[in-house]
Amino acid sequence: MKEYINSIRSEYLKTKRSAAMWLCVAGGFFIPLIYLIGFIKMGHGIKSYGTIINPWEKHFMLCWQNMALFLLPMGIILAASLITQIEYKNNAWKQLHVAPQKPITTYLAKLSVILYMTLKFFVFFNVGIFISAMVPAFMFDGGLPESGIPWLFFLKVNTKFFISCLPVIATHYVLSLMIGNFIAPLGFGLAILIGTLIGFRWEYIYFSPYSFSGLVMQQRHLPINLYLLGLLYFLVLVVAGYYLHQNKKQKG
Amino acid sequence: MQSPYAIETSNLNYYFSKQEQVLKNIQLHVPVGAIYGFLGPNGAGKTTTLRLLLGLLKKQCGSVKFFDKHFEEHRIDILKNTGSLIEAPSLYHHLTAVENLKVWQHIYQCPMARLNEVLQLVKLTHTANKKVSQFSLGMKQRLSIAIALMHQPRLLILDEPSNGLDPAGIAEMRDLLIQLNKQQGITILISSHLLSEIEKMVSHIGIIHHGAMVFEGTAQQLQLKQQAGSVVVFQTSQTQVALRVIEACGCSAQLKEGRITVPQMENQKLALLNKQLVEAGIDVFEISQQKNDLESIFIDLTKA
Repeated sequence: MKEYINSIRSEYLKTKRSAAMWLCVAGGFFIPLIYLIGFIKMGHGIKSYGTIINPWEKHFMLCWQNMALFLLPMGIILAASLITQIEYKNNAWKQLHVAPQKPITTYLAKLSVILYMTLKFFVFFNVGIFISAMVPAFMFDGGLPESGIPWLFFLKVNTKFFISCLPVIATHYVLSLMIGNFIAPLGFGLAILIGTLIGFRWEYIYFSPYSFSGLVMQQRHLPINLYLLGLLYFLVLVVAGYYLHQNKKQKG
Repeated sequence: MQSPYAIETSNLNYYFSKQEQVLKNIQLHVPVGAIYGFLGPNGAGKTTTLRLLLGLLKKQCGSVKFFDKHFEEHRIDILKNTGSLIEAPSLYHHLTAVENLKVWQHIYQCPMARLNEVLQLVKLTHTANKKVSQFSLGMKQRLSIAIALMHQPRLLILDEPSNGLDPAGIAEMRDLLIQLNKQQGITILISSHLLSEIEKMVSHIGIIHHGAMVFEGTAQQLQLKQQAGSVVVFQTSQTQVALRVIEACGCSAQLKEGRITVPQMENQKLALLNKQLVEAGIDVFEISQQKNDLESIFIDLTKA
């Protein structure tokens, strides 16, 4: 366990000042910033959504609506590839492979950092949503809406979206481990994502992991439990990825 | 009894494909406390051997032992005692020198004070907070060695560490490695394609050619071989006459491109030969020693 924690600390340090870190910050605040600018330009805040539904929930889901279908999977594809490619870009795989730690530790630590960065992105996105709601509320509406902040609702929706990201994270982690350049996994991801969006109305689209966040957003009725399927995809891909990575003829 | 070898391989073979055998029965014996020069021309199999030693290539057959322990069975223990630099430096260019060291400090679990120690050792203290992307190649090599030394290893494996360094940088690197070997007792395995680059520091030498070991022994043993293959070249005013005079003195001489070559001999005998030539009325323009270079040694060794 100590070895794993130390390895995570080491892996996390590598993301400092990296493109993945900036993507995480910029991606998290992008949509809320647009809403904030929109509110300021229009001169009102989230109270303008009315009182039929909780304006916090409405604002939260509107932000997610713009994020879920394309930007979230695209951001995940980019972040997972960028973090994994740090080793290839710096010619550092060989040094990592001769570090005195179990190969599974290296594999899981890197994956954990990708998951942590995704979590950080979620935190930035949520903080951004709060700021984009609070600033105009105090500027134009004279304060926050009377209905309280639905914390549990936020937590539930965030969890669902996070689970929906897991198969894409695993896919791009494994692809980036196996392919020593940045463009190929990115191109593959983009092609499948666009293909998924084109066929999004298809009844079996839930077999494409790239559709998960869109399906969560749409709350489409499906014959299977999407979250269980997502976790299953994730687990299978992580195990298969480790096997493939371990059996690579040449390491680093 | 403890093995006298820090690294010992036997029957190490490696195939890139069924037709392409890149290593043939490599028997490497790196004594504890030695600076072992692993020499060979480009493409001879040095890096492949070093990668196999460290498990960066999947071993196909043979055995690799570090300090008498099999690598596969004691991988982590062995790597805790081994520092390495394989080919180009493995550094994170978006991080500073200190941050690069911290990446490995977390893994090796060594005290933070060790960061300064290794930076001092490789003379990079003044650039500790500079991004590696702004480093020269020499600085990168030195930082890579600092990383390899972070966990105070007993063994260093360095693959052509002076690649791309200027002569001053090579000399600095050499001094550092000698210091590490003498003061800290670190065994060093260093590969190079230039004998001249490492001959001043190594105690043992292994030569690989076309994937096979063609020589392994002490530096003195190689020097004897080198001397045996060296020749003395005479350039005179009357080559044919000079050739007869030299042969009359009991030396086997050869004519090559208008010059006479004779096997390496003692200075007194050389002076005597010169005297004979002058007394025979021959003008001697040049007497020079042509030492056997690495390439010639390779050819000699592979012929044998």
